[in-house]
Amino acid sequence: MKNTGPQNDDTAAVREALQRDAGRVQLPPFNAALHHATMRRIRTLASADHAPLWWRVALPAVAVIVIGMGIAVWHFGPTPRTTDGTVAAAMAITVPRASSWTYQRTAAQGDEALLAMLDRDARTLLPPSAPAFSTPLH
Amino acid sequence: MKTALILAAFAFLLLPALRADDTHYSPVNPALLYWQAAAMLPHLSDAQATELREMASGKQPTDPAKLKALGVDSAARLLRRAAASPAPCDWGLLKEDGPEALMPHVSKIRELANLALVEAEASFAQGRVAEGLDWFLTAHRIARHSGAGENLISFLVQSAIETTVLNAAARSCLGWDEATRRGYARNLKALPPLHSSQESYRGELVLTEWMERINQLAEPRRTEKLDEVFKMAGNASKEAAAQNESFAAPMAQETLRKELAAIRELHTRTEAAFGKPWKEGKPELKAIEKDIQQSGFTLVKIIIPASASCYDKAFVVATLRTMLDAALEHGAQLDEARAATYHDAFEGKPLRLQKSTDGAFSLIAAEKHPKGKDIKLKLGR
Repeated sequence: MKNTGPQNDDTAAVREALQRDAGRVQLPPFNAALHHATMRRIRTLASADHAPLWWRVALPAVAVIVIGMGIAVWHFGPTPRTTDGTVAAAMAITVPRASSWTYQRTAAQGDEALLAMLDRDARTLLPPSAPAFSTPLH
Repeated sequence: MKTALILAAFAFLLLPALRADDTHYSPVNPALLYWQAAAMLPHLSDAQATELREMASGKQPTDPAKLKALGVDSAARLLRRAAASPAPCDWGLLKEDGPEALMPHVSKIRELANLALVEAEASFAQGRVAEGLDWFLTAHRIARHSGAGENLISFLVQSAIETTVLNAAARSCLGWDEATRRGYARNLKALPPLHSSQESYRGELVLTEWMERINQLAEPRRTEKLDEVFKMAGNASKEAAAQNESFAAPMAQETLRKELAAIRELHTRTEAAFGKPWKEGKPELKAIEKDIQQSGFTLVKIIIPASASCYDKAFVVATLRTMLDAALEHGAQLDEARAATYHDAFEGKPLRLQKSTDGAFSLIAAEKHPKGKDIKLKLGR
């Protein structure tokens, strides 16, 4: 049964007008390449939005851990050993060896200890730099 | 005539200016020349370095060919000029650095002194007595230069070098004729005096001054700086643990202030005692030592240097010098009666002449200093 009345008449009039206008629009021919490219783009955007978040956290965290371990190994790594095999405690003691305090503490152990240290230091301090002081006149 | 006399007088006055003038260069600080000589030393193997030390101390005879092979001629030439420089010797110690003040020269200067002594021995071995004596005087000058700096380490090095030279001269002097012996004695007397133990001890106050400055710093820098110097972190030895423990308590700012005030007071007393003859100074130092042990201050016991042994050392060296003077005066004619006319520097007791089982003669002091150790100068080889 068809509805009749004033509102129904107005709606029908608008509908008919829109249909007449749509009939006058000329549609371009279908572009398959453009269609497929657009679909690919839509699909790519859709897949990025759904990527797992844990990648974004894990990669930087692993990088920080690796770099941190590298720094720790370099700074706190195995204590260097001297040529005679003794553990070098020099890293922890920042007062230079040929200092007043170092010699005083050694002197407190006796003359022999001080002289032995001086003999050792004389061998390692100021190694010979012959090229700077050699002269063809000699 | 009058004109001629005036012109002659004028020419006479101008004569010094007309001579070749080699004195217009200012004398160089010997310390700088010693470093140049040290830089010219060739690389020595451990064995060669040990051999050089043992030749200098007389433990093994000097072989001139071995000395030549070391290639030390250039260093030796410069060393002699360094020792002869009349300029004051200034090692450039940064005293404001307190315990961190670097003293690399004390080890090198000993090495150079050994070189001078080996040069002397080589000269004697080759019959060049005058050159040998000149090298002995060089070594004596090196000793005096090494003592510059107003600190006890320099004083100890000075004492060690001077003792080695005195012993070396004693080994050789019986082979010199009377004129040579007396000439050497005159030259020895003309040398500047050794740096005194009192002067050296006075300079030790720089450590207290440094700590007073550090104690004014704001935390945490204050504690960081004190730990940096005094705490032996990372060292697992018992000595390190004991030192760390002993340094922990006094390091609070107010406690440290009181400790440093006590150190200053004790330092002043010790310095005064160092300037006294042995019979007066020794009892004072013993009283100071007792006060230190009873003081209850921790740092005092560590910072106040082992003053007693340094004090005695000056008198040991002075006694050895008296012994050498006796040997230079009398040579092979030295006997017990003549020896007894010379006295030690401690209590003024007469020296004794002792003949050892190998036939060598030695001058010996009446008392042992330090306890258990003879003060002895062996004469001849």
